Amino acid sequence: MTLAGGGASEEAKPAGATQVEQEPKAFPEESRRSHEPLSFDEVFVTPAGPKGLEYTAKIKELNGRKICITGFMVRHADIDTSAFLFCATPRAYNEREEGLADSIPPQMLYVILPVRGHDAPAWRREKMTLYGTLELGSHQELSGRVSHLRLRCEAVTDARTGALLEVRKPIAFQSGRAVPLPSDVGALPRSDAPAPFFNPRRNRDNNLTPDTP
Amino acid sequence: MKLKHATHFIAALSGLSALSSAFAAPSVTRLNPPSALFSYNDSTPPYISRFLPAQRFDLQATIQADAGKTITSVVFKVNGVAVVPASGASAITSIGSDKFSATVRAYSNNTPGVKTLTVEATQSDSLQATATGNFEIASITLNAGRKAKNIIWVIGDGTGIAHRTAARIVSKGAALGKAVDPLAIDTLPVTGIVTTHSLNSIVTDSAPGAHCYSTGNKANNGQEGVFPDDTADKWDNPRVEHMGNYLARTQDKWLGIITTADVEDATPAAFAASTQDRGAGTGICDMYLDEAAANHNLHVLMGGGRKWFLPSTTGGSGRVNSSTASGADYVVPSDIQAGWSVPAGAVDPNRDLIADFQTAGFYYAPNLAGLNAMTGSETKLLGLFNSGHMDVSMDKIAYRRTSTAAAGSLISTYPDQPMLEEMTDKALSVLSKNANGFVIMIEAASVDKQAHNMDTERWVHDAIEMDKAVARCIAFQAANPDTLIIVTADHECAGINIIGGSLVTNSSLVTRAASGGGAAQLRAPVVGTYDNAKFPAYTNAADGYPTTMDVDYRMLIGYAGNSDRYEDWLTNPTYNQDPIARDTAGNFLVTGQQPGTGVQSAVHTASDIPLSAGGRGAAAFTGVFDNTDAFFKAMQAAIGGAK
Ligand SMILES: [Zn+2]
Repeated sequence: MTLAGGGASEEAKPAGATQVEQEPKAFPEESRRSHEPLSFDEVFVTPAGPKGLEYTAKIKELNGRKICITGFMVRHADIDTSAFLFCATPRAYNEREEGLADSIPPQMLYVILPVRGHDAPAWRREKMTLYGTLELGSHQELSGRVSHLRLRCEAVTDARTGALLEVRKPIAFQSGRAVPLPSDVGALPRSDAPAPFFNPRRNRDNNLTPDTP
Repeated sequence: MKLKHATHFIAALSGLSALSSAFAAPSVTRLNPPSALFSYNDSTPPYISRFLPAQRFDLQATIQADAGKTITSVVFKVNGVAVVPASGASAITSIGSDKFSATVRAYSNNTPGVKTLTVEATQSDSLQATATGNFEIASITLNAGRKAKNIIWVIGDGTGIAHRTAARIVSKGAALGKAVDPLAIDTLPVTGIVTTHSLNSIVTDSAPGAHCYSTGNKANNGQEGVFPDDTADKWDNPRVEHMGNYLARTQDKWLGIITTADVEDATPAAFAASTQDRGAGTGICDMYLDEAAANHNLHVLMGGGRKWFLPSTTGGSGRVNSSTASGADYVVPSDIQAGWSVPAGAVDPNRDLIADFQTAGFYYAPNLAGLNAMTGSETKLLGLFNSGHMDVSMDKIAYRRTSTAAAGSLISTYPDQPMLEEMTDKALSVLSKNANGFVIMIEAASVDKQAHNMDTERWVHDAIEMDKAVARCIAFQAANPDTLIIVTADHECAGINIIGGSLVTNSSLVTRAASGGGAAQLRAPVVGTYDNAKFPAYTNAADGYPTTMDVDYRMLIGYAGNSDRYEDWLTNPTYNQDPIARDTAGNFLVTGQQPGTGVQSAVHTASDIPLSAGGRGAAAFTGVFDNTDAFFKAMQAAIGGAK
């Protein structure tokens, strides 16, 4: 038995699975060593001052350099199909409910992957270590969200095993991406349109009869 | 029977007009304010749009013209009398695909009764389109008693009946069939049940769920302060006057808005902003100063959301350089500026909005220490305690007790965040300086957010925090009897109920949660129902909050609006942890009915919600009524008085 196709990789395989797979390739040791480790609590000086946040001396040093950082993909389908959000703890981000009023830490890393065909990042649950080049400064992303640190990502690895992880998946297989955000248009029926299939006030006349004693 | 005849008569008339519109090509495809007369040819109550005498609202129609034709004139008539717009306060705008949007801004009517609204549009070739709707001007009984000088709305976002019961069981206890003590909310003498549907769905979100209390009207999901239109522009929708604006104009009352959410979140913004996009944070926060502080007497604004107030080049800023993207800034058309006396707005990502608030006379508190450093002379207060939503009650209290910041929280970044009851005290002390009174909205936001996340301990804790804020309001009312307190919700969240009590101790749960044993370990041996639920017993620490949520034989919660989650019944050490990525060691997966695509968490429900009221005018808040009725009951107390 082989794991053919791209759809089955999202869930962790059950412990008793017997199929033999090719050993996933690891990110080469020498490449690993050229990346400086950064952690999410080294992004901004804490506690915050009365207004904005200040980058730490360490992260300013690392701007433009190769870093590695460990955390979790945010469970969220960003409209930017080359990017995903990455935080210290596993969290879901419900953009439909919250818009950009959220609890996502300003330390959130905006991870940019090389575009590949009709693929986009799809959520995976593993704790991951990412390798890439750090970029600092506020930048407005496609969604409108302003990011303060970005990673031009070279490699996504399983933080536990070091194995390379593929987080991209065909967009067509990602049902969460198909759900449109609420729209302003066409919400209410109108009297000159064909009678609605379901008229919520259709029983009105029947309900009026008790009116007379 | 009379009503029935009237219906048929109007249906017959509309039939004629539908026939004639088959020959006259332009047609009216939308008429605001919304009405069942326009949508369903139904002229009977309930009337969808209702306003106070003199409350302002926009008239709007969308007209589909013939290909290549334009709409050259539009006349709105109320009961047959043409509405004359104020100078500059009307427009006919081409909105693409031969569609035109016609507006008359800031119309008002002083005479109670049901009004017929007609729109007559003329095309460039003289063909005409007409449509008819209606709205009601509510009648206020004047000199009905003493007026409510101050109005306090406490909104527990997502707080249904069970959220209250859970908070009572944990913070007050129950034994031998009775609650040991009541919640502060329970001591409010009047109780009502509120229906919560929005204009476009049985299930509302928080924007229409709060807009109804601030305007007396229905909105589409995602929208606040406005009726829906047919343009993508977030800022041009037909507006409805907010309570704060109306009471500032007519009674010179002050307005306060405090929340544990980001201040741009739907509930707080629905008390001051006007936009079809509840997510447009940059513009909404600018509006707080440019429109609400200027025209609604906004004197207190507190919560999270500091990111919207920082110039975009500053670390942690979220200000957006666009009027169309998510989080957008605002620019309003000239007819809104003229009609509503508001500035144009601007896309200004580098605005230092904190500094602008300070220039306008606001005292700025970045944390609890800042609140406590107030001298007592402040008359305007801005408090921004977190970059996004404030951290939750359970994690704030844990940090105060142990100096340990919960993983996933922003407490290391913002360690000195106030509790909602502390914010309430400061807000009331500032607002009560106005001899003409005030209206304040106090939101316990994370009851909803943590219910979405099915994080039982955190939403229960936030519901307790809400009750402590209510206790402060009740104390204020006792000293200021002409104060009306309304405690309610915007909708229920997550289909929550209390399903029973745990059959095991905390240490047994810890063992089971680490076992990987799934339902065999965490369902039948744990979930005690009926008699076996007994009376879960919690204790309070000196700070008034639960000593721990991880008691033996704890209260157990079920979620009817759930998405998939792993459940081990233990307090989640990490804040906002994804429900499908936490508690996995126990391997007890609870499958949700909620499909999860694009939403990923438990959902709002259409259940009615409880409302408790006390003080001047409270007696009216009884029975089952629509959420928009709550607005009119409160305004009766403020304008006409109550016994
Ligand atoms: Zn909600």
